[in-house]
Amino acid sequence: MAVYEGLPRAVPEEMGMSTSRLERIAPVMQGYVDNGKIPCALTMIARGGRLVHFEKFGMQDIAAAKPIQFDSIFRLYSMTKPITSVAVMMLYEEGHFQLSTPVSEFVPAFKDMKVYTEDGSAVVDAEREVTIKHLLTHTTGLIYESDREDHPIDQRYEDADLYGDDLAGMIRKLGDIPLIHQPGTAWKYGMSTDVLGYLVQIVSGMPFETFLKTRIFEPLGMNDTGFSVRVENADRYSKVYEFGEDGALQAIEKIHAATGPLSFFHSGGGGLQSSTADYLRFCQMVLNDGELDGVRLLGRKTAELIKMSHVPADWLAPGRTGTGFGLGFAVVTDVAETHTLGSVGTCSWGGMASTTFWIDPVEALIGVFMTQLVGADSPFHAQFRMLTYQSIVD
Amino acid sequence: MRKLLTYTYLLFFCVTTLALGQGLPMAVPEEVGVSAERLERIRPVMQGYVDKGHLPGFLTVVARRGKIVHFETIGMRDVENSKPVEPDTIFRIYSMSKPITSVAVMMLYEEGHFQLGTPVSKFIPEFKDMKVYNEEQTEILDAKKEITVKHLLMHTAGLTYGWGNKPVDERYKEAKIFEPGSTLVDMVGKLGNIPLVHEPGERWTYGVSVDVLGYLVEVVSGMPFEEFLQTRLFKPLGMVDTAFSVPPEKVDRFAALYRHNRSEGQMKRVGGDAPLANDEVSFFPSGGGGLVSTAADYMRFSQMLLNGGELDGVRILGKKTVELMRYPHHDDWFGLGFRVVTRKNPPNILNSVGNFSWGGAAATTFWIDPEEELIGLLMTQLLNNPHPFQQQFKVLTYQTLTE
Repeated sequence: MAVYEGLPRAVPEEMGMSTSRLERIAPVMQGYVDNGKIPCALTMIARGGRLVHFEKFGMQDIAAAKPIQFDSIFRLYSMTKPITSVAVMMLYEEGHFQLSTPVSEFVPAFKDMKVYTEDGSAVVDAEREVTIKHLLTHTTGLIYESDREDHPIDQRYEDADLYGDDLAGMIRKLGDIPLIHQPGTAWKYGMSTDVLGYLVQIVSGMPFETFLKTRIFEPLGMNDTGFSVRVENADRYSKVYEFGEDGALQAIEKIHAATGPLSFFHSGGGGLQSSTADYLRFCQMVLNDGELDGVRLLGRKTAELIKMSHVPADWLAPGRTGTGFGLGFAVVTDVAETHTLGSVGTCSWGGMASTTFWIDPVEALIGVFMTQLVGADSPFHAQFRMLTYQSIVD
Repeated sequence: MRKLLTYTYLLFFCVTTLALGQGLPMAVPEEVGVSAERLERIRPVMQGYVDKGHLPGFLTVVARRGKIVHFETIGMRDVENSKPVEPDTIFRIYSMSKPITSVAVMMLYEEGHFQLGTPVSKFIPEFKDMKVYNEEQTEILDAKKEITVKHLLMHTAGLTYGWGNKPVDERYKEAKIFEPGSTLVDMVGKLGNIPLVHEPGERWTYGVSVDVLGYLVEVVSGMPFEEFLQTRLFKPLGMVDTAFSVPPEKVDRFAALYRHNRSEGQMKRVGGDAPLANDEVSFFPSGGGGLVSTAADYMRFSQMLLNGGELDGVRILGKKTVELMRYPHHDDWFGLGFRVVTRKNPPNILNSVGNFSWGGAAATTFWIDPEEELIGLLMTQLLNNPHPFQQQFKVLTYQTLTE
């Protein structure tokens, strides 16, 4: 196995996939590269534990005319969240807490939280404590930003400069900002998983980064994953792009959550850097119900629990119809409402730089899509997913 | 010895042609869990309709696990000229064209040309800035939503057939949507100017949606709709008699069309004024209802779907795509081109959850049951059918299953 492939290869037909149908992926992706809609793309598909498709398109560094490589390293952003969630569940399995345990038991800053009234005009006491499950399911009332223009919470988040010092500092600041809704009453995307990273640090008694490295990345052989890129790997680190005012791709200068050219804030919600192969290994562990190549990170029942939807079906809508949320990723509950090919129980998430992945337990299928583009305006995720599914013949 | 060889050859020849004539290989019913004795209950029930003069004739087919266990002809394909229904009789399948057109659309979807949520106006500018009637059809407003490809597949676009007597129906009739000799471009031009009966996605309305999909296939594939069907679907699947017209050499096999006359309670022959007919033997290229076909051809199409998109080594669709088409997308009963039986909406007839089906205006019907690996197909040619033989055929088929 080439190190950069993550899993052993198989002829697609052996795994019930059609080689000729998989060939439909390349022209679509190359089209986006040729039209300047995406700097690069790595498309990876595994079925039944075997790699059946891995292709690359475009540039790691456009200005330097440096092509993307199979072992290029990418900013995962929110694809960090499933990894942090698994870390939390590993500690859960050791008996340190229940899912319903109030976070304030470990993180005093979250005691006696305040909550904004619905219109944001006043602040009241929280009716209940924020629990660990609220954090795992994004139902705490912590956010990134509100969906309103005039909500005072947005100024509070901006002023707090949450990634300004370290995890302990982030927690202190977050504890002072009222929640946007009462805990457990709505699904709102936000800082919850960053709090979980801090929780891992407190409960395990070691720095969050050390826990991830020694308990997840090293056991799974995810050697290119971390909050920073090793100097010797700097050459493999992809640039990240956005669209300039002229509509052309341009490299981003001020990179969100970065603390240096090769390092990121230790954000459990978005700080990890990784390679396509590493992330595939993580996904395969989840698909295998907690184990890969003889290394077990989670028990089978725990893996089953994280892949179940824990929030009402309509809480993620209208943005994600037919989709609930498990413990760390979205879960398909109604294929018809997703308006694309797929299976009930498919877990997925993506990152701010337009990376995405999915894990389909029904078809034993994993797709990983890497690129580095903030503010994508093309449906390449949906197309990659559809093009993958149409390749299944058995 | 030579005699024996000749005999063997003839027997082989007969068996193979027979099998081809029926679309799929045959099996002894018991080999695939079907009772031959119970299958014999089908014929007398169907024969009864013919004997009473209610119907010209029938062709009924049952296949299980890829094998034909019942293929019978009853009555006449042309009553007035005493021509019986034959295994290769050609029928107008009308709305049974819709599943075929829907499959064509999904083939292009699989190539990445569009998403199911893609607005149709991206390919058909005539559908940009549509108008919509209010509930009472007293006002015409701007449509708030775009019609998507999925709306068309699900019949929720707000397009209708114009069979009623409301203002919208008058517009459809005036526009002569399927005017003989006109084209699909003409059709979408007319449709783009008629307000929708409701906002796209609001509810299910049977109508010309699948005809618009036929045009979409033409635009996206860059070839005439029929050419796409012939080269990508019919030829690969061996559906040799399915088309929008009947060539001269096959006209003798083409069944006559009848219409049940409610006041007289009897059937009457229909001539060149048959729905969608350009003339006696050619039809408007309507993706929603223009095709003619045979039992053998439609069985091959159905078996391809039952097999998850493939037949005899020819793959038309991926497995997950067929799964998506027979998944209940609308109100727990309609998929992408078919009626679907669901647990929440169970049938009041022998059936299985997951069964998908549709029928045609001339009382043809088919169903595909993945759970029982069963296909039923009934061909006849009677418009305005008031008789319950479709349900009877279904019950009579299901009661033959022994395992």
